[in-house]
Amino acid sequence: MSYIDVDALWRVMVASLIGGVGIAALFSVGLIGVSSGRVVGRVAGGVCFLLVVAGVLLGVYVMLDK
Amino acid sequence: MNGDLVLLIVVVITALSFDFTNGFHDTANAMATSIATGALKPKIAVALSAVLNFVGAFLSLKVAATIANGIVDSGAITLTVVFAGLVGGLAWNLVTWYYGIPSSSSHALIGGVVGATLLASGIKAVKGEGLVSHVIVPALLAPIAAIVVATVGTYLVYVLTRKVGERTRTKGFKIGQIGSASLVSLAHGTNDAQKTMGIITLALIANGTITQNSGTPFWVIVCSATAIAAGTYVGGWRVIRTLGKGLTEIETPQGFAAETSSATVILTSTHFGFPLSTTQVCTGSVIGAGLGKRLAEVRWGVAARMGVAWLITLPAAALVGALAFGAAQLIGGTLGVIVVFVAAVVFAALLYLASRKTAVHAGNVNDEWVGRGTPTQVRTPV
Repeated sequence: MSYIDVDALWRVMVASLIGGVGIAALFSVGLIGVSSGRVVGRVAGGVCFLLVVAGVLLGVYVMLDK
Repeated sequence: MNGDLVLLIVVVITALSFDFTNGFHDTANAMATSIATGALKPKIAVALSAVLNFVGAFLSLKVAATIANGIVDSGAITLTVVFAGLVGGLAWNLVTWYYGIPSSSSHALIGGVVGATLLASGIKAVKGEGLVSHVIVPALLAPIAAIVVATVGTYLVYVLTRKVGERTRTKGFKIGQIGSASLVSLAHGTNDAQKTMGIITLALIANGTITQNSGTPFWVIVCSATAIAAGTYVGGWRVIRTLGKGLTEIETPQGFAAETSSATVILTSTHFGFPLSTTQVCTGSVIGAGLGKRLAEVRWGVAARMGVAWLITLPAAALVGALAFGAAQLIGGTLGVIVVFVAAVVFAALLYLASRKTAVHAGNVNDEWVGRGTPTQVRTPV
């Protein structure tokens, strides 16, 4: 018996890093956008926040799917 | 009322009590940083977490009527073993709560069951490989994964938003933090309430009250959801204080990065079938949030105390589980279980009374951390 499921482990690490860091970065860029005072910035910020909401919905889906 | 029914009732009450302690022990996982940064008022935070835990318990109902699956031989699991295992887990949850140490309730429960099984059926009934792969390896990897994600996330958050006005930044990250903390609470409800549902269902099957294929009764789901939500609402303030104030001083961007890291690590580990302890992930995320901010201080003494507690969770809970099983067997029958149950209640009451001397509550949970790694010394800033 293997003590570590290496395949699952690296998937967790990569997905966590992309998901966690990605959402934090997107939210930050969203804040930059909405605080820029320009229409383009606000729209871009809004898109970033929508992507963050999509990430949250994906998280809820994972919870329900297990 | 026959002896079997009394035993069943005691097991159900003990399982719900464990569920309650699981709730109040783990409130900190989702809400400690939100409370520390002021994103949510303490009472509002625990109320929100309680509601989400309650809802979460109903969201995923693929309840498995197993306990310590893959770790102990299922044939060795009797009602008395389950009861003794619960007592071991309960005792460890209460002791770590008293000292304000975040600690995995799942690992405590597994430890309790392993200890009781060792005494009941001998070492052959415990699967060493399962113990290593299900408990020890994940316990080592969970904080590391969370530290990495939270450190990078925190660093990026500060770098990217360095030119954003302080007011917008603080307000924005407070909102983001509430969202990510809510996701952690919901995930906790879907995971942890099911453990209790599984244990009670297993006890009902063992007693012949329900059949193997009849599924989890609705009252079991409602009771488990209520117990974990009530525990969460009571709020394990001592653990909240350690996680929110003890490890590092947290600002809103750090709190947001930490909760986002926790939520993603927990959910991806669930998705890829490599379950990690919520507590260890959340603690790792807070440490990472401290490491990711320039010049922030991580109190490694507090972190080391937690590390030591995680190392001894399994043997300590196993010892109590074995003692509980031994005492119940020594006295014999249902009376033995009742005597152990009463002893556990007395222990819990004494610990609660001791905690009142240095009470941590919603009013002082955010007071200045005065060091020495204990949440019981609180000092209001002047």
